[in-house]
Amino acid sequence: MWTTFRYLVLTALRDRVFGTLAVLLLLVALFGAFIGDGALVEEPAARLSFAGTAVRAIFVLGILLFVCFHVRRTYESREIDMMLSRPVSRPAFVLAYYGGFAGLSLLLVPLAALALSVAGRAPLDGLLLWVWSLALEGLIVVAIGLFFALLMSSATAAAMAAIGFYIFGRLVGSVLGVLTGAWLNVETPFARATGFIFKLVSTVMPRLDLFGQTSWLVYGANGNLLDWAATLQTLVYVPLLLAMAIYDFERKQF
Amino acid sequence: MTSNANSFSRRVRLKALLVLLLAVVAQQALWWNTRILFPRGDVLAAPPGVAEVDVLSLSDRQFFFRQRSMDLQVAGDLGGRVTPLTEYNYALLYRWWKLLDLVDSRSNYTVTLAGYFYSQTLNTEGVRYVIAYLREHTRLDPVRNWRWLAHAAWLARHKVKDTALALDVALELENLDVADIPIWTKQLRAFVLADIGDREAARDLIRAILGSDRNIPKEERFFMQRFLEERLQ
Repeated sequence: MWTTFRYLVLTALRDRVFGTLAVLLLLVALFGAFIGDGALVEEPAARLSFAGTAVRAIFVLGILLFVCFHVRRTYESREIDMMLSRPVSRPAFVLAYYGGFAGLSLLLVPLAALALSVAGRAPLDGLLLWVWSLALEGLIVVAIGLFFALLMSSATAAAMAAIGFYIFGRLVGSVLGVLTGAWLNVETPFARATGFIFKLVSTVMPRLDLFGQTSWLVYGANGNLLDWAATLQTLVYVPLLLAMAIYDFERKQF
Repeated sequence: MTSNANSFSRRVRLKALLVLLLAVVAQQALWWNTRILFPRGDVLAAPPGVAEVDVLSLSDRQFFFRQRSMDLQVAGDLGGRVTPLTEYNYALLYRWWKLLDLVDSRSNYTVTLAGYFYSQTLNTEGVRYVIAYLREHTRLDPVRNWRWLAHAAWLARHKVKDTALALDVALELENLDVADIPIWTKQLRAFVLADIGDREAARDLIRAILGSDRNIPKEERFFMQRFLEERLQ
């Protein structure tokens, strides 16, 4: 595990992931703050909301792209064959890889928090909750990226699928809201069919809409110091994605 | 052989240059015809439904609120365009304010924008929408928002010049059950009545307040007595 983590850190340094993401996070936070400064009133709230959204987006996109392209490159350069030639089982390999990427994403969280602090001063409890939530979201996003990168044979396709999956994870709460609200009164076969399909898909989707709310940065955590919904979601969803990735990886021919 | 190759290469370069020149001329022709086309659009688009809010914001409602509040702040004044307030559709603006209140009722952004910016229109029907919104916003949290009723009363009296509406708003302010609300909020109706010349009614109201509220500070009581003696006699 430690060797894999060191290997991933070295490749991340080689690919200038930390430097590039640090600069990008800082730039988008500054851009968010710049846009927020145009608000007629409550500029600090607007700065934090815009910067928080932008930092979260870059953090997630950065991790997804790095994981997808890194894994696919190990296939193309045959590094994966070399690594699997060691006395390590395939599930252990996937877990070690996940551990390495998860460690990298956790290293990026302080960078994101620092970038956000440039945009403004959030209430401490809200900031802590947001950072905690971002760290958990990073763990899920790494698992999403790894799953698609191991499943698909093209880095671009894996990245696009992972991004699409992430976006649907952000929307799944509102989709369920629509299905249990206004949709209930629509009695056409099409509505029933799409409602059923969406409900079915939502049963295997993470509720990423419960993570990283910028309202925490504006109004504080309101006593909600540990985002239980996000924490439990991470505890359940990461093993699920890893199990799917391992199942698929076990059947791969090299 | 070399001479043939050179001649071929020269012909290719000449053709490429010709294509480049034609493309530049075509681009200039396009520019000439499109330079007067601007992304006009509507001054203000219709607000989305509540269910759409989460989809549009990727489930970060606070971001949606801030982003759309700023859109509302600059609506009609982007891309080199300046739109007079009289040209805004206040029914649409009212729907936007109500939607943004649903998303975040704690913020003062929307109500400030409506109360101080959009209320400056010369279109009195538009100001009526502002007053209606300020009244509804106050009801969401009277303890924090009562001052917006005073502003609505002022708008009704001085911008719309609708005394009945001003009195109605002042009465709503007077009847708010808010602890530590300044005493002048109870007298606002009397000020409006005095302003329109109905001194008797104003006098009765001030006397009723003086008689019913034992907690009025001494200086406030003094001010009310002077108001009775000097303005309402």
